[in-house]
Amino acid sequence: MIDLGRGCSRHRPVLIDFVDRGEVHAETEAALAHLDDCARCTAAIESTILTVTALRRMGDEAASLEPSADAWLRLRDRVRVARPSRIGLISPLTGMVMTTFVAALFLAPFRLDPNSGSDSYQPSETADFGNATEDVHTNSVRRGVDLPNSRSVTAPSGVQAKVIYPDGNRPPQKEVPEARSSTRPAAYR
Amino acid sequence: MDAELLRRVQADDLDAFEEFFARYRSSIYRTAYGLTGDRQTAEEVLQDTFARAYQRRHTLHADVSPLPWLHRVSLNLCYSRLSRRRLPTNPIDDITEASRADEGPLPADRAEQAELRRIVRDGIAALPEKHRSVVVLYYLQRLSLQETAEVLGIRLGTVKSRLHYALRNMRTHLEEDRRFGGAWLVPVDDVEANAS
Repeated sequence: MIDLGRGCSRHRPVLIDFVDRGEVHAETEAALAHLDDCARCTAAIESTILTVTALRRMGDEAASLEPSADAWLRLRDRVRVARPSRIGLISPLTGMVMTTFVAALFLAPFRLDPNSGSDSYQPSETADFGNATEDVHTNSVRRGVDLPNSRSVTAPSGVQAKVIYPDGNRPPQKEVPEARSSTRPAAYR
Repeated sequence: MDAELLRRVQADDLDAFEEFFARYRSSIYRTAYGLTGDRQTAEEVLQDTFARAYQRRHTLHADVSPLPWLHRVSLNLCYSRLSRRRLPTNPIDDITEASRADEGPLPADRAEQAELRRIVRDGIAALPEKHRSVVVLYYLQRLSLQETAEVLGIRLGTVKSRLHYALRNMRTHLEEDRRFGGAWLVPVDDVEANAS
């Protein structure tokens, strides 16, 4: 720092305020008097004046600049895309009708039986299919149990069913004695 | 007037938004151009600034001018672009001289002024971001100190301080530049550095 005890550091900001913005402080007069004695501050202030003048002249020229003529057209196209869509403007009644329609689409796989006279739920034919298949399988198994000497599975026509017992007779069941525990005392059986 | 216009804009009146754009576009464009030094980028910033204003139209207060808010948005958009890439410089003097091309060859003094403007432009570009903002708003946009403080969201004293240091940096830049034939060759010291 070069101050030489003459108060350059104190006067310089005051002088810049004065030449840049015309601000007059209590110290301005003393600062201007300082310029008479300090060539360094005089040079700095002259340089500041040149800088400010150049900046302001540039501002004057920039004031004539305008955006391109189609700036609004481009912005308008952009804004139109961003505007709220019409779906947000439908009436509440239309909304309720649309909601009902969408709900009906989801419920289409299920039907209400018109002959039942009530609104009780009835599974559709698709749902009946699983139950019918299960019933057929259960009945075929039961037939096999009730008729021990016959083939329990009916093969489709043209297909040779596998013969489990070649002589057609089921072997006698083994006699199984009653289960007994050898570890539990008889008193607790 | 602004309040009524803003209310119409907030009611999705596109004609009102066109009026809103016509009223503030020049100021925003010049700010963007002053910061970026590039016309194409300034156009993009202008578009983005008003597109954002339309998106946020319901949050704008009708009782205050939207100009500080628009300036703030454009400054942020400029800085985000400047940080993304190194913009090609297209100084104001080039544009100005191009518009005068049909007036014949440039006289010597005009060429000298063009050179000076180029030096000043480079000096602005070399400033730190916060100093560049105050220089563009205060010297190029001719906003008052109070308006500059409002746009940047800082105190009046901070604006003055930043202007002081920006001027000092600018002066240093100009003094060190040899293109101007020594017209700026004034001894540089750092007296102001210790003044604060």
